[in-house]
Amino acid sequence: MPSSAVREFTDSDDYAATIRATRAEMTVTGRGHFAAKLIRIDLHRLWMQRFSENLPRIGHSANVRGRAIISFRTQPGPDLLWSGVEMLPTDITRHSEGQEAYQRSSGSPRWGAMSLPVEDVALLGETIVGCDLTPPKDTKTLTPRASTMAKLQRLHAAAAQLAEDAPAVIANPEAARALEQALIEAMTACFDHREVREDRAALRQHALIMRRFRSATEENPDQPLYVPELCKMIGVSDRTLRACCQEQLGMSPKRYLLLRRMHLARRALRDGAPTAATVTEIATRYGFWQFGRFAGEYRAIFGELPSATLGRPRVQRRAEPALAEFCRN
Amino acid sequence: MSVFSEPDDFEAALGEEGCLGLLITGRGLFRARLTQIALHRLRLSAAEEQLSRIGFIVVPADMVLMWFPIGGAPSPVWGGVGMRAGEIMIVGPGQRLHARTAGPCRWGAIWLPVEELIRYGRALTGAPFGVPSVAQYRRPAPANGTHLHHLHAAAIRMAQIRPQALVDAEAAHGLEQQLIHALIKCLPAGVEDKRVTATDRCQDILSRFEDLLKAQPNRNLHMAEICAALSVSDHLLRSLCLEHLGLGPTAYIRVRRMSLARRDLWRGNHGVASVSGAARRHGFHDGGRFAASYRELFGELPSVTLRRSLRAGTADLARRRMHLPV
Repeated sequence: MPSSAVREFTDSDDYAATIRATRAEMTVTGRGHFAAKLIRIDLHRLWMQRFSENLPRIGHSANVRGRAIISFRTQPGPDLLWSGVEMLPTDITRHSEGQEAYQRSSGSPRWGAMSLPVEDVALLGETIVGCDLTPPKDTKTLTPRASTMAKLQRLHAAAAQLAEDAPAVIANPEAARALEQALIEAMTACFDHREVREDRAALRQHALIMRRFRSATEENPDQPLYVPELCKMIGVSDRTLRACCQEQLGMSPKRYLLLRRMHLARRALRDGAPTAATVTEIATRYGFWQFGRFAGEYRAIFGELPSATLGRPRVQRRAEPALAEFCRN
Repeated sequence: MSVFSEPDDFEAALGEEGCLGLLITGRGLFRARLTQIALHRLRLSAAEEQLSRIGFIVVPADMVLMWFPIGGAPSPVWGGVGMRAGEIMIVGPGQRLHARTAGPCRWGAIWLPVEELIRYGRALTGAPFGVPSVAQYRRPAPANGTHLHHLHAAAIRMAQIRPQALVDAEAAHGLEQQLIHALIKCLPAGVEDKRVTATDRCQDILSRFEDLLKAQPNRNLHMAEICAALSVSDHLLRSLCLEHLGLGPTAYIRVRRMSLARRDLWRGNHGVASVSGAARRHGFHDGGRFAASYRELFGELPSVTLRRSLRAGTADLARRRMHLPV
C-alpha cells in the first residue's frame, strides 16, 4: 500500500533513527538547536526520501542489503561528503549494497535518496537500458547529462511536494504506479550516461581504516574512547588516523572523540537522577577535567549549561506513539 | 595531598616517588606540599617546596619519569645541567642522578611503566618508539607542552578539591589515556630537541659516592678514603660535586650528617634522648658548635626539634601528615 509521511525533528537521534533503508547515526557538530525535516514516500517497489537539516553533522550509515540505493543533493549548498568524497549537485552517488560509510556536512544540506529492490534493478537493466544497474561493488559517483539530472530533480521535488500537500494522491495505487514509473525512468536515464568518478585507492584504504574506527566505537557504545587506545585497537598511527578522519569526518579523531564524549556526557546528564550524580562526576567520567572549559563548550554545543540538563525532569522519549508509527517497517 | 613541616617526613613521602635522598640546603623553616595520584598505570605528583635542596633520584628499572617545573620558579639543575624554560626532563629506567634546586620550587612529575610508554608510543607513531636510557631534557612544541601542563594541573587540582572523582575507574582511565597521548606528543624523536645531562661515567661516580655514604652513615669519612674507594682523583670528585650538587664533597657530607642528626632527633631513632647523643652519633663532637650550625641550617636549635618531637609523640608519620584519601 503506497504511503507517505512528513515529519520535523529537533532531536538528531530521533531523526537518524527514522531514516529508511539504512541504520543511521548522527553526531551534530555545529552549535545551536538542531532542526531537520524528513519526507518519506513508499511507492509499490520504489522508496524515496528527502532530507533537510540545519546544522553541520557527521553521520554514519549502514545501508540495508537487498536494495539498490542512490542519493544526490537536491540543492547546492555547503559541503556534503560521502566517505570523504564531495557530493556535487550535478552528481548521483550509487551506493554499494549494504554500504557502511561516514557522511558529513559542513552546513545545512538538502539531499534526497531513492531505492529499489536489487532484483528489480537487475531486471530493469536488462530490459530498458541494456546495462548493469545492480549496486556496484564499490560506491561510485556518476555525473549524468545536465538535462536528465534536472528531470530527476524536478520529479523528485514534485513527489515530495505531493506528500506535503496532497498525501491522498500518493496513497492512490494507480497514481502511485504512475509516479513510480516516471521516477524509475528518470533514474535509469541518468545511469545511461556513464561518466563515472572512480574511487581512488587511497580512499578505499582510508575507508577500511574508518570501518575499523567505526566498529571500535560501535563495540563500546557507552564508553568514552581516546586516541591512544583507538590507535592500538585499529593498528594505525595517530598521523594516518588523523588524515582519514580529516577526510571523512572533517575533523581530527581527537576532536571527534571529544564531541562523542560530550554527547555521552549529555546523555548521562539527561538520564541521571539529579541526586545520584553530580556534574563533576559525570564530567570526569567522560574525560573532562577542566570544568570551566567543559561548561563553556557544553553550552556552545547544546545551548544550555550542564547543570541545567541535569536538573531537568526526565522525559520519556522513545515511547512517543507518533514516532513509533513513523518508524514502522 | 599532604603538607609537611619536617624534611624527613617529606623525604619519606618522596621515597614513593623514587627520591632516595633529600638534603635541605636552604636556610630557614621547612615547608612543603605534595599531592600524589595513583591511576591504573600512571602516577602523578605535584609539589611545592620552600627551601633549596639536593635530591638523589632513582628510577626503577621498569619505569620512566617525566618531570617539569610549574610556574616561573628558578630552574632546577639535573645531573649538573640547568633546565631551560619550556623543557621537560625525562629520566630513563634504572637511572640514578642528582637534582638540585636553588630556592623555592614547584614541580610536577609523571611516572609511567616503560613498557606502557613503548607500546603506546609505537601505536601512536606507527614506528618503533625508543625510550631514552639516560636523563634527557626535551623541548616539546609549546602547544603540546602547555597541553600536558594543563592536564596535569587539572588532575592535581581535582585530587585536592574532590579526590573521590579519581576513584571512578572510567574517569581514571580517561585521564590516563589523555595523559599518555599528551606525553607522547611531548617526546618528539628529533635529535635537535634533546639535551643530555651528565655522562654515564659522571653519574656512575656520584651514584657510588652516594652508596658509600649510605653504607657508612655514622662515620666521618675522609676525602682520601672516599677517593680511594671510588678510584677517582680528589680534583675530579670535587668538580663533579660542585657541578651536580652545588657543594664540595666535604660540605655535602657535613650537611648530610647534619640532616641525619636531625632525623634521629625528630624520630627518636636509636633511643636518642639528648642533643649531644645525636650529635656524637653523627660525628659532631663539639656540642656548642653543632647547635650553632644546626640553627643556621634549619632555623631552630636541635633542642627545639627534640622537644617538638617529644610533644608530637612517637614517630608516627601518618598522624603528622595531613592526609586526605586519594
